[in-house]
Amino acid sequence: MKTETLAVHDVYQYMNERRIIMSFLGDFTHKVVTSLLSSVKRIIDTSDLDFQMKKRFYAVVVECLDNISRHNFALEGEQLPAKHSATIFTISEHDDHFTIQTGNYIHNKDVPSLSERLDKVNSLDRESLKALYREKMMESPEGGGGLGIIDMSIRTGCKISFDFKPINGDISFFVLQTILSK
Amino acid sequence: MDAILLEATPTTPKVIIDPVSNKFEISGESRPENTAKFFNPIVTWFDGYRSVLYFQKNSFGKSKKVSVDFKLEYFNSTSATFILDIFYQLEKIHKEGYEAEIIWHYDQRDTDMKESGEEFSKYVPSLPVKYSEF
Repeated sequence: MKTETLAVHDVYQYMNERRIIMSFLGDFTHKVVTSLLSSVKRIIDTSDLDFQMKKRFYAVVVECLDNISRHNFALEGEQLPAKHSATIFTISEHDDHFTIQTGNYIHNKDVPSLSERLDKVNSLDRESLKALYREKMMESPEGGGGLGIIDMSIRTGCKISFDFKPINGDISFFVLQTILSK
Repeated sequence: MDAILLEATPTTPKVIIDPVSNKFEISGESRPENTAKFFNPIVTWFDGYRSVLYFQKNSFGKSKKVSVDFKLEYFNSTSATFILDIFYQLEKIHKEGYEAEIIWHYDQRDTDMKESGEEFSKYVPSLPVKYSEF
């Protein structure tokens, strides 16, 4: 029991030091996402952000979380081992910005295309992003063809940071970070 | 044609598609679990409504104006593609010579939402899209 208590205290301190105001580790079903979003709404409502920024904050979080549940869905039939199925999501608040991070395991074979897509989005300015969004809208009636990432990038006006940490020959841990200026 | 009347849920908008009172409205928040399943019946409805308008025009010399109010607080990017499909349906109605328009409502503090409406309208240049601040 003693060690477990200490572990929680470590997590508490770790989160406090990094100013993490919300964190969830688990399976991101649509139900879970909906309940997380109602907590996110409360955080946003009590923040000092103006109306438009509050809306943007919410939109960016939804796209981040949708991205994960969509991604997990796409993997159906070719599931990751159970111990690699959980996803982490955190929001931290800093003096002049919020940081939203997600982390999940993905198959190594999906790394190049994902990385290429993110690099492309990061290379574009606002107007080109809007043009790319328009293009994607025309070609994907079902959506999900990277629209979310483009939308996020347009709304925040910030580059998306990402990283792939190789775990073994099949799996990497994928981190996606977006920043929302206050 | 039967009306489509759906109450809002935390993830789906309120929908009023009522040909009797001639009221068409989609309002609230949209991030359905299954976006196609939610929106396809609405898109199909407008597709089928053209034959009703055809009947009205032939029988009474005039069809009822189709004015769709979008009053969205938030929609995710997957919903966007289906909202566009509704715009396309309205444009089709309009192109075939029936009166149709979209009224895009947005909170005056939410210029992103106004811009979204303007973006959608670019795909349907011939369809009247009006903007209304609230």
